[in-house]
Amino acid sequence: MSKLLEEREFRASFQKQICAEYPFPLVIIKANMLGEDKRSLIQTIVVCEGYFALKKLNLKNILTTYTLEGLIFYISIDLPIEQLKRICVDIEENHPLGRLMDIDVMTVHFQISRRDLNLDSRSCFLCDEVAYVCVREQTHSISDIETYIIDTFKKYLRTNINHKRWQRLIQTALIGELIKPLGYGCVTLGDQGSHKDMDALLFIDSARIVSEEISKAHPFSENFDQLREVGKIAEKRMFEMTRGVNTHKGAIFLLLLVMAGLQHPDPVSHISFLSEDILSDFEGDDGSHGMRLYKEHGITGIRGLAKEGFSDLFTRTYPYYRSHSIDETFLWLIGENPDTTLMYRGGQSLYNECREKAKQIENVDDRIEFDRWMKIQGLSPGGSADMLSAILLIDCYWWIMEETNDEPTHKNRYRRYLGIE
Amino acid sequence: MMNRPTKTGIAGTLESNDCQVTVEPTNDDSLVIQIESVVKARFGKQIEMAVMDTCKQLELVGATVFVDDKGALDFTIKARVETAVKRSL
Ligand SMILES: [Zn+2]
Repeated sequence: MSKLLEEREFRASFQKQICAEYPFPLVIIKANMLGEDKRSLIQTIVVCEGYFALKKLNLKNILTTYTLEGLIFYISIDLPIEQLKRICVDIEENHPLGRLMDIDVMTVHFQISRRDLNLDSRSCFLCDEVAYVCVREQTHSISDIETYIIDTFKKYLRTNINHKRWQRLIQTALIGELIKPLGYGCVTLGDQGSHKDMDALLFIDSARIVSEEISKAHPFSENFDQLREVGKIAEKRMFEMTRGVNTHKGAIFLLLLVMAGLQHPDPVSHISFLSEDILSDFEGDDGSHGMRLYKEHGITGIRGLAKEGFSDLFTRTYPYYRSHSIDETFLWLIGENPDTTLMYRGGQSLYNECREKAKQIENVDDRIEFDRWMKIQGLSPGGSADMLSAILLIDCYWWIMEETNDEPTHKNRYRRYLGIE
Repeated sequence: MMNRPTKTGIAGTLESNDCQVTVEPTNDDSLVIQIESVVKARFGKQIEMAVMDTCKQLELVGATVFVDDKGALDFTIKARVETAVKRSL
């Protein structure tokens, strides 16, 4: 039996267990994707959007799993099952990513279908036929289906409403970072890394709020103080939501500036211009890790990088990412990118050891060993994970702004949105 | 070698693009196949053929094979039948 079929069976009994434990209808959010390994950026964003669309309801319990089937949500909701199914069908039909979602509603004894509500079966997304029929007849080529999925995702990001566009881009960047196969101490979709107080769900919730807040700063790309004001509010809302856990503080600062930079023809010089006076921050003392390191070691950290317009990010790291996997890019960042979070937690000698180890990695075994070592040391390269988000923001933004729709480049360059290599 | 179920064997799920297969022992050597499917009108015969082929390959006798299909492809149906049969032996 294939691994995927096995996982599905296992999940069916897992779902029954949840239903037995929580006496409410259970909503399961998956994505309609191809292949034996469905984990990918698009798959992840699709199911998270399904979850966000349900968030205003009375959610009693939320679980996630991350397997070959990709990210899946299991949400117990206190509503009559028919009403809940109608809401879910509406999301599947009308959300911009809804056609890519697969939302089931069940109780311990019963899985409700569209037919039970006298609704039509789902239609195929490429023609008017019933979806079941096209699947069975294999009417459409894999390449046509993939193109549809990628185009749908691109349209979703590209929405004409500016605020929404930035919100979706930033949310994609913050959540997309979590698909890295190994966290090396950071939280991933499948692993809490070195953290006891955070997991994937907390990051996903935080990404929603943070992206909603900082996208409000898109018209202020000329004004550093206004960007900072928005950043402070975003930070406050993040801490309220996480009850004091720092999920995205560094990312807020970084992505605000990258967003501002991307709106200019030369992002590096624009960010550098915006951050001209940033080192004057060090005249005060906000008590942050970065501040402590500056006072004690003269390390300028993320502020120093901003003053250079994140030139390394745009001219070295991003090009590196274009020809390497997300895992390779993350390791490169850990080895190359000054990470004050890591430095603060580990101290100088452990920090250096960690960077050396990251640079020497050659094969899968080295990676797994390094991941284990980082967790034992309690280290977490959060600054590098933030950089990964920035890379995704740059990549997605330039992708949706591209004028050409040249088929092969489109395919090769963005295949990675459908797989994690 | 003939395969004869001794107990109920179930495999698969009732989600879209999957099927649930239940194999039960009968009192004689017969083989009964029952199909329920969301695409029965169009593909009932094909699905039955796929199930029959698999049962023959497994040399299954003395069994009722019930397939509740939610739009699975043939290779999924075959895999689920195989597993359900194994679990019934
Ligand atoms: Zn079709």
